[in-house]
Amino acid sequence: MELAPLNKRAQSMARLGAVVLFFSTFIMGVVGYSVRSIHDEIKILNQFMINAEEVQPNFESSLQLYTENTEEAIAFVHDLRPDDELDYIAFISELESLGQSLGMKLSLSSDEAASGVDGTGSNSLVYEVQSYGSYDQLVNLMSGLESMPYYLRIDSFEYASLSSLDESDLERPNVSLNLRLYVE
Amino acid sequence: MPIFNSSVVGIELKDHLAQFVELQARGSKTKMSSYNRIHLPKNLIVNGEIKDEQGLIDALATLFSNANPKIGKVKKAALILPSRLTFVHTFTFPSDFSVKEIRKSLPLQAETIIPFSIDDVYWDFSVSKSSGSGELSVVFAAISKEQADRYARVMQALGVTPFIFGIEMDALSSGLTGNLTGERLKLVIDLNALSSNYLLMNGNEVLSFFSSNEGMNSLLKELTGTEKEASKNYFQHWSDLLKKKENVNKMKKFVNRRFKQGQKIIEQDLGDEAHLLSSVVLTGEFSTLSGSMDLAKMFFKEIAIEAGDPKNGLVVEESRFIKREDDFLENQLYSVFFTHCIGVAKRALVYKDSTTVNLLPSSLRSKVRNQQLSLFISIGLVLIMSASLGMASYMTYLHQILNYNRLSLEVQKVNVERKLFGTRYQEIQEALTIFNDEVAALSSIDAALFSVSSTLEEVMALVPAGVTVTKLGFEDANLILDLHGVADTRETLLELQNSFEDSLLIDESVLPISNYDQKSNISFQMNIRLNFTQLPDYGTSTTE
Repeated sequence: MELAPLNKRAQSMARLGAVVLFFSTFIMGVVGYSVRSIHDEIKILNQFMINAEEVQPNFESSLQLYTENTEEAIAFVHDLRPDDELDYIAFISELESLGQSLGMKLSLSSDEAASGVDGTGSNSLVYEVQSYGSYDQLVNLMSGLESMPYYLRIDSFEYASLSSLDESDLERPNVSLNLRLYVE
Repeated sequence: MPIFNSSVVGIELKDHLAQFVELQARGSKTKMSSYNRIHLPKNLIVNGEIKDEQGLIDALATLFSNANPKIGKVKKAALILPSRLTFVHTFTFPSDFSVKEIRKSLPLQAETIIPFSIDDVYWDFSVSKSSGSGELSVVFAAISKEQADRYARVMQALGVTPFIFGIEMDALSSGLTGNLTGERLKLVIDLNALSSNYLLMNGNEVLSFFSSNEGMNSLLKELTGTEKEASKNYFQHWSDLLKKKENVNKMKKFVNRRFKQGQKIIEQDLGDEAHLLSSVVLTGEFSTLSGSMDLAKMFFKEIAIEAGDPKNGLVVEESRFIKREDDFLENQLYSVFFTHCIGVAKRALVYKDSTTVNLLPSSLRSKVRNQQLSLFISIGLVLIMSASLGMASYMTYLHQILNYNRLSLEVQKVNVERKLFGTRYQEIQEALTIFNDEVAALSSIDAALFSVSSTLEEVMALVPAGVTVTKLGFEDANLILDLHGVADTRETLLELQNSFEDSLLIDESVLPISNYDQKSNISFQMNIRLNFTQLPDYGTSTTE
């Protein structure tokens, strides 16, 4: 016998079924995609937490290390360039002490005209230092200047052997230096 | 095909009566839950043909409304068609024919035996068995569309949609399964008002079927000279007729003719194996006429005679039924009146399209098929919606859980970030930035500086013996060192000049040639320009 076509009721139900199936599939697809996205995000967050577990102790120890040593180092580096009058006075005192330790009486005068930013791009103060002394004292003075916890530049110096000077020349100091102190 | 119905109503309509039984499937058992029969007024059905549709509809409404016990709305029904209206024939086909090929070739062969065009009949077939010769035995049945449609209209008018229009052959083989057990040859003789049916069975396997239009109504005509019968109680009328001895003799002769027809079928179909026939089963509404069983025993002397009782194998709770005057429920043979009803209902309970001849009109077949499809689609819809709901619930649950996990992790992440990148971190970062800037500035300064004291010492180390340096002057801007001194001889002065020129510390040394004018105690003045790249680094000198 021939298979009769579906009646209207059956056709309606078939259509309804198709619509339900379509929407079910669509909704499942959308929700499934959302679930997958969330799942991926959770994977990333979990990985972050795993990494954080390793980073946190390192970070803590880094902080500890910084607190213990680094602050001192940074402070030392900052002190290499004086930044106020107290620091300048401290530098002058240390310079005079150096001269005394070398048996030299240093005469200092600041040269404001020559002070300012030089070729390094850093600000600086220039002092003219004069004294009596031998060649060795000169060398030790310059070596002592380099050993000071400052950045100093010897722009120029002049030295005359005491034995080569006349009496008239002895009225003036035979050692003369132009010092540039780098400041902040 | 009914799937979930557990009850089926088998309906049989005859000229003089209409009857039904309702069977319910209970696991492996079948229970008779309701029945009824009514005598039909004259001329509603004549020789199986419906003559008064509305009258029949009214009568059938009464049949169902007076059911014993009462039944609800009839949903599943199977109708047995009168054999007078159906054409049944057995064809043989080669065993390698498929069902599809049989279906294709049957119409051509059928038109040679039915008095209608194949287009004017509903037809169906069943491949009943593979015969001993290896050929397929195909039972073909057909009914006029006009007649079948009338039955369909009546049923639909009653709100009943039958899914089987069965034939008596199938109804007999199904209805008498209680008698037809084991691998034994049996002949079923079904004595009805309109026809006499002969079914030769080997166990449950149909070997042959023959239907004669000579039913008991023919005898009625012979006894009364007319087909007119009492409309009120057909069987009471028969009882009255058989009170006369001459009528009894005529009845015996008539019944013997029916048995003779059976004997002929046995000889034709079984031939030499006729002696293997184990019994003759008598059934049908007229098998209970007085003396029928004795007549059969006398006719089939060597063969056992059984009453074909369709009630065998059925569960009948007699206490549920109301006893009526014209019922004979106590009499077990009363059930033979319902052989066809019970048979078609039993077949309907286990209906298979391939094994049952179904002459259901196309309109009803479509309706049934649509009902089945609607049911399938409904079930599918319910399943899909259930699955969708389940999936949606699960996905929503999963979504919520994942969302909660994500939010929890994000909160943890924020806490970690606050810890890692908090105020203290900002302070340190700022300090480090300033530190880096300071280091960069100092590096820039450091790169421009060199150790003047070390440079001076290295230069003075180049001064040979015999040369005395009396004055020194230095300008960082031009890296010029100005030397004044006294050389003992020209050679020592030259040695000084060569020493400076050979030194990597010194790019250039300028000594005016006039310095060589004097021979000894030469007072000289020399300018040397230092090579910055070779100068000692700042801070490399040591203080004594």
